[in-house]
Amino acid sequence: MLSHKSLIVVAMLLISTALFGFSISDAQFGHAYKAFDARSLAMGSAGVYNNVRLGGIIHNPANITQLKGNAGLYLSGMINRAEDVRMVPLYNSFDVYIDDSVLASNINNYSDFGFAAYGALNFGYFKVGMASYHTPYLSFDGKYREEIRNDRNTDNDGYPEKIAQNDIENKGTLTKNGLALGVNFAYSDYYEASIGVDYALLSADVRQEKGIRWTDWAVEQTGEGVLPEYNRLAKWELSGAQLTLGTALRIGPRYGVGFTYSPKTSLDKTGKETIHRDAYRNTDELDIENDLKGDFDLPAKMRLGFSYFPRNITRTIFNFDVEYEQYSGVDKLFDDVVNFYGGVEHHVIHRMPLRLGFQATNSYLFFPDEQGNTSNDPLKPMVKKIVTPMITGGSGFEITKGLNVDLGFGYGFREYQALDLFPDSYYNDKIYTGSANYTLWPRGYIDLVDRDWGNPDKVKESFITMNVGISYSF
Amino acid sequence: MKKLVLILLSILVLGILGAKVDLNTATLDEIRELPISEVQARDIFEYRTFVKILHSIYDLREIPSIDQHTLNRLKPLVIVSMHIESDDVAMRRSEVQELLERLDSSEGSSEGMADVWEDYLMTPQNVNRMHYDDLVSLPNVSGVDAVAILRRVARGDTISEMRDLRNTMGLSHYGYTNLRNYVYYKEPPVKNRLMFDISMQYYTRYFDEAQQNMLKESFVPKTHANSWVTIPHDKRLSYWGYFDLDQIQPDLMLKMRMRYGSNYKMGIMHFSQKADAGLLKSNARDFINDAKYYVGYENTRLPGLTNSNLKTYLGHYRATFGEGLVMENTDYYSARKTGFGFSKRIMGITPDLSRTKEYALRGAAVEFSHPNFGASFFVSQDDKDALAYVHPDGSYVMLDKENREIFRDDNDVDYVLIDGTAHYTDENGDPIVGHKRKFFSYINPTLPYDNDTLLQAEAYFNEQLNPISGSGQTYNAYAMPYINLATRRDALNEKLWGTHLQFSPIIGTRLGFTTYTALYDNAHFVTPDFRDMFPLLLRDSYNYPKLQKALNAEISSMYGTLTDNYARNYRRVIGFDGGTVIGNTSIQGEYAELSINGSDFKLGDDPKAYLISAHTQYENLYFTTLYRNYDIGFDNPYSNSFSEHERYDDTMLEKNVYALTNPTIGDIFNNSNQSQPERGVYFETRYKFNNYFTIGRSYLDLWERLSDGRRSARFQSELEFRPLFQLAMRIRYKNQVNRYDDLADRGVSKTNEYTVAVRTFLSNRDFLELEYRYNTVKSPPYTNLTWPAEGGNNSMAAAQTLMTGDYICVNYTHNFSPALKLQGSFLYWYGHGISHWDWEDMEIDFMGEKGAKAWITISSRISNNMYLNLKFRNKTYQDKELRIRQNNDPNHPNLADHLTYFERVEHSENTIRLSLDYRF
Repeated sequence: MLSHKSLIVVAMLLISTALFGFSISDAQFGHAYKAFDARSLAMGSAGVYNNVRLGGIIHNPANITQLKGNAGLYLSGMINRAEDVRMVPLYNSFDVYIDDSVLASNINNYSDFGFAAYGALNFGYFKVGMASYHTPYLSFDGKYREEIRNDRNTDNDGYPEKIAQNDIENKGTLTKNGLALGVNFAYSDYYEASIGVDYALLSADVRQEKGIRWTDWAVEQTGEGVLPEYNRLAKWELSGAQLTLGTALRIGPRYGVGFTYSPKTSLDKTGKETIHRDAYRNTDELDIENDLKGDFDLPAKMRLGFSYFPRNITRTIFNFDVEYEQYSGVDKLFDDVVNFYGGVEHHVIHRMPLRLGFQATNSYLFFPDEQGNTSNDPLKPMVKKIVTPMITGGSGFEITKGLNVDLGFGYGFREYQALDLFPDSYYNDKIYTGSANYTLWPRGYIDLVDRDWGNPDKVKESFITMNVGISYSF
Repeated sequence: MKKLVLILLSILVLGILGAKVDLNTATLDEIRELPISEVQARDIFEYRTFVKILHSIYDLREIPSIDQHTLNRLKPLVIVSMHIESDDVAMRRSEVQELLERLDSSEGSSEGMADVWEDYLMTPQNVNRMHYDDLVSLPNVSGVDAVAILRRVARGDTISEMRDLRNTMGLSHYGYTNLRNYVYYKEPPVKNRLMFDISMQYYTRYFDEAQQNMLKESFVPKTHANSWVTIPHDKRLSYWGYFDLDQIQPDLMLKMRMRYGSNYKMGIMHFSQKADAGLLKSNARDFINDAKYYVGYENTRLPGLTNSNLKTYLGHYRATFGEGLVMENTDYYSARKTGFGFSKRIMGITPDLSRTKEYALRGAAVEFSHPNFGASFFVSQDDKDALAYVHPDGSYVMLDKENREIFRDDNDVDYVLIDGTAHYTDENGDPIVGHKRKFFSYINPTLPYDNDTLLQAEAYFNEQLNPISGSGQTYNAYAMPYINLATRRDALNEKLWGTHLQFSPIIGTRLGFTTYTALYDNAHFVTPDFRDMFPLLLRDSYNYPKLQKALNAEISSMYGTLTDNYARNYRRVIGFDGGTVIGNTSIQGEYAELSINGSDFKLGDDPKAYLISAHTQYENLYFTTLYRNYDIGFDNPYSNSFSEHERYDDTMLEKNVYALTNPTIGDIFNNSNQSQPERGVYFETRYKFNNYFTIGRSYLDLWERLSDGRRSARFQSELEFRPLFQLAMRIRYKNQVNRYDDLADRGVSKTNEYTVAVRTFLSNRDFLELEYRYNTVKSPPYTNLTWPAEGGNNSMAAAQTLMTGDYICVNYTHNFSPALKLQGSFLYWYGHGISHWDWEDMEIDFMGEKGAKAWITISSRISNNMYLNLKFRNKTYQDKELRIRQNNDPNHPNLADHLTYFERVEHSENTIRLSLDYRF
């Protein structure tokens, strides 16, 4: 076991390298938690077959009866850091696209937690187990801030005046509260077969707000009541249930195989959206209230994984999972996707594990009409498949017999194009003042036209996550 | 599967100990019967199963739950039998593990060779039966080494073991140390058995700088200087924006090889390239079309034929002969490939699962070799990607049966021009019908899209290039207002056959003849006349002077099958190669001609290429001299010989991509595999004075680029001082001078590079290196550098520009255990405008002005069969971009007065490469 000093050093190192988070682009579908178990996260979120930690039941209910003990508790907390960098296309003097220049960058931190408990009883060759758990499933959290500044004063390293501030603040997590049952048949040592079923209630309370606030400077230039403020608030709830079936086989000392299947899950979405924009010159106030009602579908998914226990001087476990998500069943706009998860655990010194992993997951971004420029080219709803590779690592230690602490971290990133979150034409003050010249853009050279897919934002996101799990089994 | 063989130390001992429990063979139930707890029993079983076989009973103390009391209690009750690993494959693999890991990291041109070397490592060849070409195909084994062994064997001597090999007269130290891993003496380490290699690679790479620049080039309507027009700023006008290439799109490679001993072999590889639709989108037919595969049979003990070898392959194979002038098929170029040291060729026919696509050979190949005679025959049929002449609607420009170009009128009706008059029917009165497609050249495209997807993109770009009516703006169309040359996938039906014959009258002396003919059923390559090339390649007449540079003769000298002088449907290359070994010197060379106007059987009447080299070696010294001379007209896409630069380097296909009618024509250069036409002499040496001082690989190259007569010199030398085994210090100096003989061009550029490195070899094979490099480039007056950099300097080039750059780098390797290795590197550079070209050789893909790069690799040997390698790299760099978007106004007066730069255009790239290999 590690000394206290070592523990502090390890913890500090991991915390200092922290931490990851979620994306403003995932407001529609949520950002999926691929692992809530610190050990599994460190091994690339692999673990459809997992006989080491209770956190594995989130992947596969059949894992309950693959665990060695007969009862246990698991508590996990995670901290996330999300970096979102948005760039605008840059053109050279021949009017040719050459690169992208940063427009806004945001860093946010989020946290969440989960827990699980289980118990199992042996009946001869059979073992029956039951577990209940709480875990976050999808995160709708996201924060974004962007400043609109004019083009004055930049020549002398000065700051240009700030015209407006745009904010997006989303909050909400789809949580999963489940009950899992498993039955195991042990033919002999290391030859076992388990099946399991998981029934979980899913619920979320989501609040999404988007606003544009003019600065005092801008109001001063144009006069009170000229510039319209804008605000959109959506509040909605999700509720429903998800079923997962799983099986786990231990085939001799060397191999373990797991398989799970979750059919397509439809959650009820209910809520309201209100949009308010102040009146301005010759234009009335805008007050819209829409009911948000419908189904929120989670795709059917199958996941197959295997675990390999070789003979290795640094005791080793290797896990590799392949997941198939049937997005085409949700909407014809989507294609089915395949995700990979793989990781390895080496017990380097004194049974202290060093875990490494990799995952490549796919998600969809959805761009509805409201976010696009519809003035010239009516924009159809558009989806984009985004791949997010992630490298992971971690370790752990045993505090006392049966009581383990696991640490996992991951660094993931993705790059894609997205529509401008706040279209430029809103800041064209000529619309509000009626003047032929800009008031807020004194140099006047700018052409405030909405950027559509011809000039989208280039988005680079990176996520650092740290997960700490405490498990006790006996 | 692995099995363990119990060696009985003695029947007597066993008799005495027979009642005791053998911890190395006992079942869990048998261990449970010992006076220990269930947990302890399981711990012992799992330690043996998952950690290691017990070597002594005291190993039990490594198990936390076994204390000394338990051990004392167990001692009289148990034994630990001795086990020897009897799995020959596993033993062999652990012997050559380090070399296998090194080969696994091979990429590009050496990637395909790595597979072959891996096979030789696992199933070595009998050193007493190897032929000259077998020996010289191995890394760092020279012709002199090969002859030393062959002469010894020819005298009737048999090399019986490794030490015996070392005693071979004339075999160098380097030759011996590298050869010993690839050969066996009496009994092969691995008997005939089935072996599998399965590997997967996932790689989120970025396009390289030249590819990015090419793909970001927009199709914008022509504007007139000094006239006010608003050009739409739309990213989709470039291939980059249109195909949304900002997204991370990984390469995915799956490869499986299977063989039985060294006789029967088969393999399949599928490579889904970045931006490709991927495996999920491909059906079985696409999968097979995109995959590479082979089945093969090799036999080194042919019945009735003494010391003869036979190789036959169906599917994809690689063919390499001589110095690679006639045939060495690969998509990848590597500079200064001498064929010596580690810069090797594997001679003859070998299976091919590399990523080479365009110049892959698919068909059948057979090779027979005997010490005195060898013959190879190969045929291939494959559809190749080509740069096609296309109409505005994207359809192929065709040629009729008389090989006249077919034009298309405004009503989309085809006609031919005869004496300047349009004819809509042929001599028989039938409508004009296309017979062959008109192609510009082979091309290895950066974008892997199919033809339908490319056509859609081109249609979109064509629409943007044409005048927009009713917009209120006056647009003038380009000289060529549509995409007239475009990549077409699998458009060229190529049938290829070739042969190589070799005669070797005495050991080490060879004379070979190689030829291949590529037949084109459905197409003609047409290289336009110099004048016709202007509107064909350049969008705007403003850019015409760019093509007038002599350097672009490389483009106008491309091989055509249809010219004013002849029409044919093939490309044929014929060559001779040979070599001999005199004392400790090997001399070799190759002469090749591309058949054009002359007779196939007459030398010197066609564009030619030749190379001759000599390699002299002593125990601690070698010296290589190489002379090459490649005519401009020698356009052989299947060649891959020694040169400093790849073909089309510095031409407008590299430098002026923005001027091309279609920027993706630049792929002819970007993914070029051929050598540039050059003539020059190259010297290379390495000398180890003693254990303390070594002159590392040092070379001098003096050469002339034949297309424009530019003469250059390049020199590099390295001195290593190793006062202790654990510590080495290196200094390296490199100098390159490029002289431009073209009076209309610039003068001379000089590059000096100084490197200091300290390397420490720590315990447990750990390694730490610190390196600092300083570089100066004195470039010719470069107006686009001096003009904005010197305010008020106007557009005249004032003086030479001196640029400096440097970098500092730390490399570290840490071995946690034999099964787990971590390697990392951190590097910071400040280039001051020095491009990555000046930093070549260093495998550092510098981009931009300044930046930092860090990477970490974790190599995990999960078991004897399974390997995982995970590399993460971050590169963050800053570019100096011209501040041209001032106030969104390209004609803003500030831009004319003083151009300034965006200092903070920052790039950050994350790449992950995961490799997973399973071998059994």
